[in-house]
Amino acid sequence: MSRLATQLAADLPGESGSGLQWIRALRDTGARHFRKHGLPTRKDEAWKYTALGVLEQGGLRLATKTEPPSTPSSHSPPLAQAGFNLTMLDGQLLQQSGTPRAGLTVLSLADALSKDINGLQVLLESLPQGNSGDGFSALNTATLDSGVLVHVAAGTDGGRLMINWSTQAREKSLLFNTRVCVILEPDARLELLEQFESPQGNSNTCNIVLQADLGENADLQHIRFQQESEGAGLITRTEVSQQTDSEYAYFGFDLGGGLVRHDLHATLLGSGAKSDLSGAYLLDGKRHVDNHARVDHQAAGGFSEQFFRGVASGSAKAIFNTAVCVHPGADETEARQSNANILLSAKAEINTKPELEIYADEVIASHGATVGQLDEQAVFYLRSRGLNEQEARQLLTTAFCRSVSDRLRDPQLGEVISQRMMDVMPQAE
Amino acid sequence: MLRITNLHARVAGKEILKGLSLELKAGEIHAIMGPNGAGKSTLGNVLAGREGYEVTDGEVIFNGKNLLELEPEERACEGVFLAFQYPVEIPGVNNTYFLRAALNAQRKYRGEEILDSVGFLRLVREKLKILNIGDELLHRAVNEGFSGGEKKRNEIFQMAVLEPSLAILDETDSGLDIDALKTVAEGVNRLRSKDRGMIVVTHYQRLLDHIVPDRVHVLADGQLVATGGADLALKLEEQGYAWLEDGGIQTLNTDPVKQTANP
Amino acid sequence: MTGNTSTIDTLVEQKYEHGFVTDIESDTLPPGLSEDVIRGISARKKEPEWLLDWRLKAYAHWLEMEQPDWAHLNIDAIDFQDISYFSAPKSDKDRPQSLDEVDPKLLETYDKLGVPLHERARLAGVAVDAVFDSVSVGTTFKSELKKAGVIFCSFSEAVQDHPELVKKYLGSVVPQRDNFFAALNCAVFTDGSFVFIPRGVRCPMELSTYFRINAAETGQFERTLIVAEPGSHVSYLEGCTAPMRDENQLHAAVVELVALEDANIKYSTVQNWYPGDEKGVGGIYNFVTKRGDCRGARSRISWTQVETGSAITWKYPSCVLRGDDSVGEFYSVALTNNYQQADTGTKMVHIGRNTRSKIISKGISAGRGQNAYRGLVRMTPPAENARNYTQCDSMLIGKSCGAHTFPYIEVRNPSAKVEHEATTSRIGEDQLFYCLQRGISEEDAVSMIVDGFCKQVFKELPMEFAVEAKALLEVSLEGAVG
Repeated sequence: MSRLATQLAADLPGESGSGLQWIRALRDTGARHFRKHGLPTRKDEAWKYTALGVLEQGGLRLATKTEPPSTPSSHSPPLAQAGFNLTMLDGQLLQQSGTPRAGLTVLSLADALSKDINGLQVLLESLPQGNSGDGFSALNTATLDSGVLVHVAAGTDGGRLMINWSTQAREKSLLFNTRVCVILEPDARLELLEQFESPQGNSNTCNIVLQADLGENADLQHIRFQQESEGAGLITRTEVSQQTDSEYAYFGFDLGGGLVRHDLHATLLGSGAKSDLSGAYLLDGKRHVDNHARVDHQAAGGFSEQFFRGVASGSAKAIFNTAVCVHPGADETEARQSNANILLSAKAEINTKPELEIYADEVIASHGATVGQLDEQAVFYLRSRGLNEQEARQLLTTAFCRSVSDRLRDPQLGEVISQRMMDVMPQAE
Repeated sequence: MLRITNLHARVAGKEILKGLSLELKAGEIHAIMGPNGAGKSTLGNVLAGREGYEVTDGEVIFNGKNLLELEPEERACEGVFLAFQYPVEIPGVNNTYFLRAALNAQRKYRGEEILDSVGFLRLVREKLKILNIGDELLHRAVNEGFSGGEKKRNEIFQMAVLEPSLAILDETDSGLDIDALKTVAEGVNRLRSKDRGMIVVTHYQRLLDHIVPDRVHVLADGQLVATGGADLALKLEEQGYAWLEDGGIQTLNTDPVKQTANP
Repeated sequence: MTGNTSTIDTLVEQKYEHGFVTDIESDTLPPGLSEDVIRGISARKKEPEWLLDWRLKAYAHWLEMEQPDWAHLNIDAIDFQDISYFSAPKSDKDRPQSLDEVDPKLLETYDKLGVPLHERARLAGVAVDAVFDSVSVGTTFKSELKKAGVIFCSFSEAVQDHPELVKKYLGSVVPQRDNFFAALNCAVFTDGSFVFIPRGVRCPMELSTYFRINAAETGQFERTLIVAEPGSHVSYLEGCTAPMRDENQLHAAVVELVALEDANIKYSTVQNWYPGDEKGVGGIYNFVTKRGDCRGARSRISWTQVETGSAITWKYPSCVLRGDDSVGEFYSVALTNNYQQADTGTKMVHIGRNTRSKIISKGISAGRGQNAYRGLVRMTPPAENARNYTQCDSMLIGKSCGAHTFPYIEVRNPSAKVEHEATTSRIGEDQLFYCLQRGISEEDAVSMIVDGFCKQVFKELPMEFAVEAKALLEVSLEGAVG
């Protein structure tokens, strides 16, 4: 086990904490797994391109609950207006503002756990963490306490819920563990907008697990915008399970962060479910962003699309792994993957791996992945119309990433995000 | 406005233009015809400053400036417009957005005021009206999924918005059916003005039925070998390009090739 | 589609045609692996000291290595002490000098395989170096090749006759500790082929080797080394079949190709080792390391493979594109039926400037077969303007099979360009119906569609191999449509 893992294991509380028996048992399972396997290493296939040395060097320690969050310092403006807003500071729910729509309930996880909300136990216990590479999830489970429960009642529209994540800079680097549970009852709808931006000089790491359960015909739009500082770590896992005819749309934007890892996983349990995952990553400096997106088709007639675009410059490293698994019986599945990348600098690196695993009949599956440069013909075309070379390249690179923000259902939000992308757009070297 | 003197250019190490000279005055339309491989497209690309086209000798003076010293975008801002033979598709870049970025870059270069989106849209509508084309092109990405005719119409539309002083139409007729050809030619004719020079590069005479040139030049093996009035195009159509090789040049009743003295 | 199941079943149940055992007394070492066994192999082959040392060094590495654990292969543990590492036909003492002297029983074996050696050689102008179990038994056309300066002989002969060449190139492409099975091969390899094409020579004929595993529980560890000097050209064909046995047999070969400046090596394989029966019993474990080194500028190495046999296939013929403007190609058809598992693909490592690689992979899964493409395209920092194009298509026939794709793309040069495309499809009902409606039988329709699916690869094979490959595919696929 690495030095960091040993330290974090030592930081774990000795007993399983307070609360109902099943919660304590769950924490125990996580702690046992973590003490046995520790953190993932590059020997774990899913972590082949990501080493955690940078976290270890930072002397990362596990945050304990005794450190109460203070008021947030400076914070970037929100991307969009939302009916209901949550401020998460240092992994804990600090404040709620706005008025939730009828049908939308938001509770701190601690409250939810003490009330033993229907369906919460099943959801929390369903998080798969059998592999040696699941150390962060195990740690998250072992410290299960902080977080949020979002519930949308059957047949209602919860509107837009915004979660603002940030941590405050302090002398030592801390690891915050948080769990977000989203339950959409049948025919419920929600737009979940997550924004991650912490003040500069920050060297904390957040380990966030988001579990979403989509009932029949439920519809979840999930937008995740991340512009953390270069010293910050962000380890997140999104687990979505989808019942019949439900729809999950994900839009992820990585514009920042130091060490970023996101595991995005949708499981289509009911027939006719649809998963539409898209994202853009624009990296400069020494950022290291590792995205894994996986869709498991376990029922017939499902549809999934994965559409991701990436740009790496400076000495940034982008890792992108998409996977689709069509299980036996998931006939008539249609699965598409597309990943295109532009590499702008000689020191930057892009590693991509689009996987397909097919065990069913009558499946249409395809994937495409490219790594390359801007089309020089297009650059010349723009220059011949009067744009200078830099403008031409910027315009084309933005267009490349805009193909993701244009997919957003709210065009205004798409405009805001593409402006943000334009602002950080790296230049060719 | 444009004086090309003894222009030599290479592409991938091979000499394509071998001493081409030409003088174009404002308000004139010159047609350049010639067989495939004569260097017609090379001329357009050299004037626009495409990479990979190496000028080894000669000069191009445009409105008193040495054009060959300018970057491609500076040439565009100076008023040189190339209507491409194969306009590239740029997925994801909205046509309107693109055109406004181009126009404002040129206006900025000339020290003019930047057009806001309202002003720009007004201008665009006006131009669409002049050219008698619908606005469906505006909402799509640049040339993406356009038919051959749509692409060429889009080039003419851009020319109308950017109002260049020199327009080079590179085989604008290629790949067009007769109706599309007429539409494009009408557009070009509407953009004829006393301040604007045009070079129409074409393989076939049929475009010149619709865009009547002031002068016609024949380009063969990297040089202009014959120059005449609009009727020269008709003669070429009748006799084909084969006579160029047969030394049949004298049999054509043409003006002598105008030679500009080397400075 | 259920109506077709029975036809498919019949086809799937087709027996392996090449399963029989040749009854020749073998001089076989008892099972087990130790330094003594390696010394024994080396002594029997009268090898020089340096080669024995080389083997022992590899063995020492191997002892420290762990058998790889494959994500997508379902494999029983292999007991390496239960394998015999040497088996030579008794007649070895009097090695035949020409085909006429070859044991008639052997020739009969080849006849049964459908490889009438001499006829084939004569008709097709192919020189054949046949490896029967572990010792090379017959080489034809040697004199003609000699005239051109081409060396084509068994590996053992090369060790005796051209030790300086062997010493120079052996292990220079696949290092001893490259992987578990390569290390094992280095320690215990028995024989194989050696090819040397001198500067500027275009090899006057296609070179061909036919491998065959015969003795029970004998692992076959052959080793092939091809060196193409500057400006030379060679096309090499390799065919493999093995008799039917209940036990799983191990085949762990190593192939090394070296292409110097402007040299061109084309390596084609038709692999039809025994795949095991319809219940998944028996069959060959085919764990092969094949790698080509485009060492010189403008060199080219092209791998073409048609893999229809073996219970488990694990091979990734690769190219290291070191020379500027060098080219690597990989064309593959892999078919798995019944309980076969194939995990195959390629690695293209771009180092030189303007290097190009192309990968065309076609996987066909039927029955309960599992077929995975696993590939790596790596653009290293110096690989200016390097290009790769990969196309990776899978076809599923039936409900219980699997088709998987795991392409690794690693790019560290901003002027490099990588394009990867993959599709998974099945034989469409409408396609089948269209054929049926035109009067074509279902079987013919399937093989027609599959043939079309594989066309891009078959056209890379030398003509006669292409015919054989097509026939093989038809046999292996029979009845697989569901």
